[in-house]
Amino acid sequence: MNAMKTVPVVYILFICISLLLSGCWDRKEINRLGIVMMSAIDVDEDGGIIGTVQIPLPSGGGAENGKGTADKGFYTISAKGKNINDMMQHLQERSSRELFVSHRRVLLIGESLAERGLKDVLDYYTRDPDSRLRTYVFIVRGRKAGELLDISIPSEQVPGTAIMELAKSKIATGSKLGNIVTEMATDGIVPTIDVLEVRPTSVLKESKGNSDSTFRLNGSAVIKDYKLVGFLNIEKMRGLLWIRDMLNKGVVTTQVPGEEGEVSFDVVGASRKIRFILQRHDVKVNIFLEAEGPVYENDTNLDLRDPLHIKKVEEALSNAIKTRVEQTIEIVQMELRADILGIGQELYRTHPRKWNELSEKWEDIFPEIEISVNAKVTVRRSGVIGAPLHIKEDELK
Amino acid sequence: MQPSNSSADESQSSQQIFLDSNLVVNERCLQQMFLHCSDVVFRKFRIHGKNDAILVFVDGLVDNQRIDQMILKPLMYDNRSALAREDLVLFIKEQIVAVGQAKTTSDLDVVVAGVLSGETAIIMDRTTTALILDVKGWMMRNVEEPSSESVIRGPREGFNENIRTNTSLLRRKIKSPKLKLESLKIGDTSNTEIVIAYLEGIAKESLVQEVRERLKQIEIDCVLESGYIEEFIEDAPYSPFPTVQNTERPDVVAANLQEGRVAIMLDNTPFALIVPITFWGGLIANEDYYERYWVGSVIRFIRFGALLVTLFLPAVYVALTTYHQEMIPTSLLLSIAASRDPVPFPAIVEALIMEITFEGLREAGLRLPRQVGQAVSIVGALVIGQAAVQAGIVSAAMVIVVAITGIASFTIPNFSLGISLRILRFPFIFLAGILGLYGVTVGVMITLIHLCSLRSFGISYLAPIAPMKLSSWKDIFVRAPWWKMNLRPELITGSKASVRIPKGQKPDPEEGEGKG
Repeated sequence: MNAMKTVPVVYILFICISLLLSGCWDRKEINRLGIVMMSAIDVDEDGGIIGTVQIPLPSGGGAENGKGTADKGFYTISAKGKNINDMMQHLQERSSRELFVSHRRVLLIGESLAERGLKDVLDYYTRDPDSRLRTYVFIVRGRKAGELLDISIPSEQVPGTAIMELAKSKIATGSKLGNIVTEMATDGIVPTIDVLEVRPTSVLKESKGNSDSTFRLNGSAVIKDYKLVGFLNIEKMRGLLWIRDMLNKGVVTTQVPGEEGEVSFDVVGASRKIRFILQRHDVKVNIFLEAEGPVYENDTNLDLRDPLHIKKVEEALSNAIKTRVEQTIEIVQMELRADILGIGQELYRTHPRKWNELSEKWEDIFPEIEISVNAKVTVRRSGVIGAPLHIKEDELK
Repeated sequence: MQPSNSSADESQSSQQIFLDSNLVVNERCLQQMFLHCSDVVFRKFRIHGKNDAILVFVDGLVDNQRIDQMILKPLMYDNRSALAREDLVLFIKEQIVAVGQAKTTSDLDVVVAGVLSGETAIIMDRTTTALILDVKGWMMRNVEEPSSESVIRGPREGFNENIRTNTSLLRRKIKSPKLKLESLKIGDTSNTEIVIAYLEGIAKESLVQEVRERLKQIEIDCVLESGYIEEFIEDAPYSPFPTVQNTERPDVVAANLQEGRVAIMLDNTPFALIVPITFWGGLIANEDYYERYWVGSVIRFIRFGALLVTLFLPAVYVALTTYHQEMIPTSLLLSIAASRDPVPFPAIVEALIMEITFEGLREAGLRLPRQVGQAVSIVGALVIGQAAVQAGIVSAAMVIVVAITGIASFTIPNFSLGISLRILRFPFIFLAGILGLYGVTVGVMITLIHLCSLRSFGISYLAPIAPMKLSSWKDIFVRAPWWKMNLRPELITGSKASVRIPKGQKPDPEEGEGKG
C-alpha cells in the first residue's frame, strides 16, 4: 500500500524536477528582442565586412502612442567584422536587445561587396538556422547598402516592410535567398538579383539628402561565379521577366502604326513557351509569348469597338513586346554573355540528351545561339468606353 | 461491500419492531422515537366515539386541509354501524378515507419512514396494523426555466426539488409503459429517494444492472445533491473530465433515454445524472436538435473551435511569444512587442495573472447576489481591461487572448466539461511557459492518451471517433436532419442498432404528389 502511494509521488517529483530545473533555458521574452527587419552588408576597406541592421522601435505601432510619431519608427546600428558571423557578434555588442533575425525578410548587398564575391556571404545566410531562405535579396547600386537603411518611408513603420512589399509586387523578379543559391548550383542558368538605388521621392524636385529620398527598383544584377558581372536596366529586366515566365503584371505602351498617340495595354495574363530546334552543334530557340488583358489608355482616334482596330492594336502591341524582349536577349547574349534567361535549364528539361552534349561548352555556345521571339497579344476589353468620349464622331476611325 | 450490506439487511430484519395491539404502547414507542421532534404531530381521536386512534404526521409535509376533510371528518363524524368489525383497518381503507394512496403495515419502521417522508399514519387501538395514507403537501418551487441551461427554442421547464414533480415531467414526455422508474433509497439519515429511469428494451439490460449495482454499493449518511452520487458511480474519479452528465432539463433526460442511456434522478435536487456519456456529448446542446439541422451543425463547428481555443489559446500565445517568435506574422509580432514593451513580467506570469483574475471574477460574479455581481463585472472589466493595460502591468494582447478564451469557454454547453477544460488550460500554460510548443504538444498527447483510456459505464469516452464508428458520426460534428437519423447510437444501445426513425421520410413535394 505504502509503495503504491509513493511511486506516483516519485514520478511527479521527477517530472517537476526535469521540467523546472531544465525549463525556460531558451526563453526569450518578446520585448527583449531586437527584431531585425532588414540587414545590409557592405565591403570594408580593410577587407572585412560592414553590417547594418534595421530594428523597429517597439512603441511605434502600439495603440497608445501619445509620444508623437515625428521620429522614425526604427533605428539602425552597424558594426564591422572579419566575416558575417564576427560582424553579427559586434552588432550584438551595440544592442541592448538580443538581435532576432528570424523575421528579416530583406537583405541588401552593397555593389562593391557583390563585385568582390558573395560566396562567404551566402554561406552564412543559408547556414544560420534563424535566417530564412525566403529573404528577399537586393543589390544596392551606387551607394553603400547600409545607407539605404536610414531612409524612412512615411507610409510604413519600418522601411524593411516597404522593400519586402516591393519585392513581392511581381514587378521585380523577387529574387529570394533560396532561389539564388539554387540557381547558382544549377547548370544552365545564371542567377540575377534585383537592384535598388536611392532616388529623390519625386521627379519634380531635387533631393536634399535622406529626408526626401526613397529607394527605387532599378533592374537586375547578374551574378556569375558568385560575382557581380553586370546590370540589366529596368526595361531589360521586364524583358527578362517575359522570358523567364515570371511576368504577372505590367503595362505595354506603344504607338499604333499610322496613328497618332499611344495605346497602353495592361498585361493580366502572360505565358511563355520555349521550343528548341536541335542542330548538330547547337540549338535554335523559339520563344513564344502570349499575353492578354485590357486596354486602359487609348490616345489614338481608333474606335476600339471595331474588331479590325483591335487587331491593329494587338499587332502593334505584339511587335512592341517582341522588340523589347529581343533587345533584352541581345544585351544578355552580347554584353553579359551569361545565361540568365534559363535557356540551358529549359533545354535540360526538354532535351536532356542534347543538354548533356552541350552543357560542357554552354557558356561559349549560349551567346552564339539563335533565339527568335514570337509574341501574340489578345486584347480582352477596352475599359468602360469603346471610342474615346472626347473625340468628335467624324474624327473617329 | 456486498456481503456486509446483506448482513446489515439481515440484522435490520431481525430487529424489526412490530406494532403492539395496545395503542398506548405504540404511542409511547413512537413518542420515544420522535422525542424532541417538534414538527411531529400526534393527534388522538376516537373513531366515531368508540375506537381510540392516533394520527401521526410531520407538520409541514402534509396537506392539513385534506387531513381534516378526508381523514378526520369521515372517521370522527360519519356514523357507521359496522365499527366493531375485525377488519376495521381494511374497512376504513376501503370505504371511509378518500385518499388515493393508502397502504397498511404492521412494521413500526415502515410507519416511521412513511411519516418522515410526509405520509400520515393512523394507528388504532386493538389492531396491530397501521394505515398509512399519502396526503403529502408541502411548499416547493414551481417548475421554472432552468437558469443553467437556457434555450431560445425548446421547452422552458426544468426539474425542481421534488422527485415526484420531476418524474411526472419525464412521464409527460414519454407516455409509454416502457419508461421505467425504479426507486431506491440512499443515505442513512437522509433516506433520499433515488429513481433510475430508463426505457425498457432500448437501454441495455447490462447497463441498467450496472447502474443498479453501483448505486446499491453506496453507503453514505446523507445525499444532498446528485454530485454526491456522481462521485460514487463515476468511472474515472481522478480524471478532470466528467464521465457522468448532469442536467436539469426533462427534455434532455428524455432525449438521452431515447438513445438508450440511463438517468438517475434524486429527490431534493433538480439535477439528474445521465450515464453513459462521451466527450462529444459535452459539446452538444439540446437546442441543436430543436433548431433546423443547418443551425445545429454550424454551431457545433463553432463549439469545436471554441473547445480548442479554450484549451490552447493562452498556452499557444505564451509558447509563441516566449519561444517561437519566428512563427508570428511580422506585423503581429511588432504589435505584440509594442504592447508587451512596458510589461515587467514574463509572458507565462502575465498569462497566469490574467487567467486567475478572470476565473476569480467569474466566481465572484457567480456567488455574489445578482446586483453586486454586476458591479463586480464592471470593476473587473475596467480594472483588467483598461487600467492594467494602461498601467503597463499586462499587455493589451494578453487581455485580448484571455477575453477570447473566456468567451470560448462559455460556449461549451456542458458546464462540468467546460469547467474541467478551463482548469486544464492552466497546466497547458505551464507547459507552454516551460517547454514552448513542444510542451503544449506533449500536453496534448498526454491528454489524448488519457481521454482514450477513459470509459463511462463501458463506453469509450471518445466514441464514436475512437473507436471509430462511422454510422454514429451523423450526430457528432454535424447534426444530421432528423429523417436521416434512422438508427439509435449503436455503442450505447448494444451491438444491434435499433431503428429509431424509419427511412424514406425526407420531405419531397414531387414524390409526395406521385404517391398521392
